[in-house]
Amino acid sequence: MATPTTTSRSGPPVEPELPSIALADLVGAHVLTPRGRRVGKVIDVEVRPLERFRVAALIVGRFAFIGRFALVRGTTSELENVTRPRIIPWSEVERFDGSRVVLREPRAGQARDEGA
Amino acid sequence: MTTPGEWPGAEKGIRGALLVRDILDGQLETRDHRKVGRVADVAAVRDPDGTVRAVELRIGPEALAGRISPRLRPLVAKVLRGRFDHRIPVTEIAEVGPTIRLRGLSDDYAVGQAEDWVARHILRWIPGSGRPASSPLRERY
Amino acid sequence: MRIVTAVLLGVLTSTGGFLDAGSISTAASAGATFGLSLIWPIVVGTLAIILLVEMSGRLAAVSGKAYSEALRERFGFAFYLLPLSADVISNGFLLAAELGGVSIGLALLTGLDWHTVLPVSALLVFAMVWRAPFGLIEDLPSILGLSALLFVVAIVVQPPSGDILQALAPKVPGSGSAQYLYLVAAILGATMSPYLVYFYSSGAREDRWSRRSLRINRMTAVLGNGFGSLSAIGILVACSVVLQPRGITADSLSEVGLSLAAPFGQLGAIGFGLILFACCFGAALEVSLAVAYDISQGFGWEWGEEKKPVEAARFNLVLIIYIAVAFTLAFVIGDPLQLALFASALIALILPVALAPFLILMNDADYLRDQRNGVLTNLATIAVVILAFVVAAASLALLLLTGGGR
Repeated sequence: MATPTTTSRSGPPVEPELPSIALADLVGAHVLTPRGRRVGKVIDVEVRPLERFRVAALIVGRFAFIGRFALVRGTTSELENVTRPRIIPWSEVERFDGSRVVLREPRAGQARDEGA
Repeated sequence: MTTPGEWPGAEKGIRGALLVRDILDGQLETRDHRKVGRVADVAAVRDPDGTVRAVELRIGPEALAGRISPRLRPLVAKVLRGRFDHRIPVTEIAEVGPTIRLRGLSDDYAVGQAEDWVARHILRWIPGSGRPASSPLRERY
Repeated sequence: MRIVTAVLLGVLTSTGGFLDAGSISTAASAGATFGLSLIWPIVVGTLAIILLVEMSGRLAAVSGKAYSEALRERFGFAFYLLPLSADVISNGFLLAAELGGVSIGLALLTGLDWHTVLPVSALLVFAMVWRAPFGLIEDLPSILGLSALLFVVAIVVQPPSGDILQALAPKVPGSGSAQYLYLVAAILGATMSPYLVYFYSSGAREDRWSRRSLRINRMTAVLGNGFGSLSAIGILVACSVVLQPRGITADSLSEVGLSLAAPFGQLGAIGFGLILFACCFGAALEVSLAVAYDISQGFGWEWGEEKKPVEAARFNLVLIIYIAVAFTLAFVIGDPLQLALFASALIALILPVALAPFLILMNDADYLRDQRNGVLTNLATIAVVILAFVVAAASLALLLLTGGGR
């Protein structure tokens, strides 16, 4: 087998022509404003299975290895208050070059909290 | 491509949002409760309109090398030529919990046959290994 | 009533399973070289292993995951490679020492040369992990290992002349401090070997533990390891009584047998052979399984001793390869006692890498819910791990500086 084996069942083949992104690269990537200021790191990536598994948002915070219990259940503790993970919709992402996420310029009239 | 609402996993409790770290490194388990590996990576594609969709689960040394460093991926790809890597469409995910349950049986996936391969080609020479799995055409139901 | 039998069985198997090539070698060397002054690391190490074993069982019971499964899922593949490498490398040497110990035990019982017996030992270990059900693996060698309590009898028969309580206080002797520190590290490493964490958490999954098992787990951990440590202390004292006055420094496992032959004659020699065989055999099973669990769980393969080999093919393949590699190491390096000392000191050195992720997991609500570690447990574990690492690093530095003079 010269190429990776695809499963023998279920449906439509994957289109190989479109550029592919390794989501594992996205997790842990630095997130920057267009001006290069650090917003944080990608802690997790939200995906919508019912919308064709589209990437909906990034969860960004200071420490990439934070436990997910805190994120998902929303419990508060010292650590969470310090790191304050934020949800950034994918629409606010300008590009991801494989190691860094760069956000779009905020639209006029839309203030975005630049503090990290 | 499946359209919204058509995805079978919707019945089983995956609604709304799924977090990638719930899938990465998760234990893959087939419908017949066989462990077939762990998710090394999740591949996504970017549509022309800018949306990014997760499409495949990646398993194997090439994907694993990429977890250590993205630069290792092409190196491993050149050496192993994808011989040991597998892809499973994300639509095969039935349920995400302590394990990632897949819709199919272990024989339905190429990666599910790795265990049988080792059993048939290596272990059978040792007495007491148990009856080697028969061909993929065995009766299941 | 069922709880009583469960606890009883657990305590018996933990007591009998406490000793292995590492703890026998370190205790014997310590007693023969430094008399009673190295009992304190055995006590400290025992407290640590009680904590580790209890945590290991609790992790599996509450989260439903064995250590390696939780390790990879929580920290990701790249990070998982660190404790994995440390585990595989250090346990390779340890397994080689265990195989050597089994062989010397068999050699003492049969009169054959231990090199001849070595392949037999490896095959016996393999046969057991290949086909035996998990219950038998857990129980059989450990029950036989209860014979190690013979060392406690030996102390009663010929008690030490010094004051044990005074000897319990740690103090570094003027000369031979490099060797002293080396033995402290080795004793700690031998007593609190991380392979036990991998093995116990997987064993708890094999036995399908749930929250209901938590109390039994706690009692077995404390009582089993507590009583088990008595046999280690017994070896140390017996060697200090028999070997030290005669200037015998316990350079080989057969010399250690003198500590039982002196008070009990021929029966003691046979007893020692049986103890060596049973304890090292049980440990060999646990070490090889621990590594196979680690790799199989980390990569998501089928695993388990309750399955036929073909059903968990890669898991069993790892077992075969690993035992073969350890056998080769044992054959090439020889001298199981020195190998055991080295493996134990190495383990002490890598304890932080092996156990830091474990400690983080034990405080993660995702896995332990309401059963997370208390502050004392965390502090005690951290303290002992740091102690072991510092002593191991210091002894290594000293040994290098002094040219390994002994």
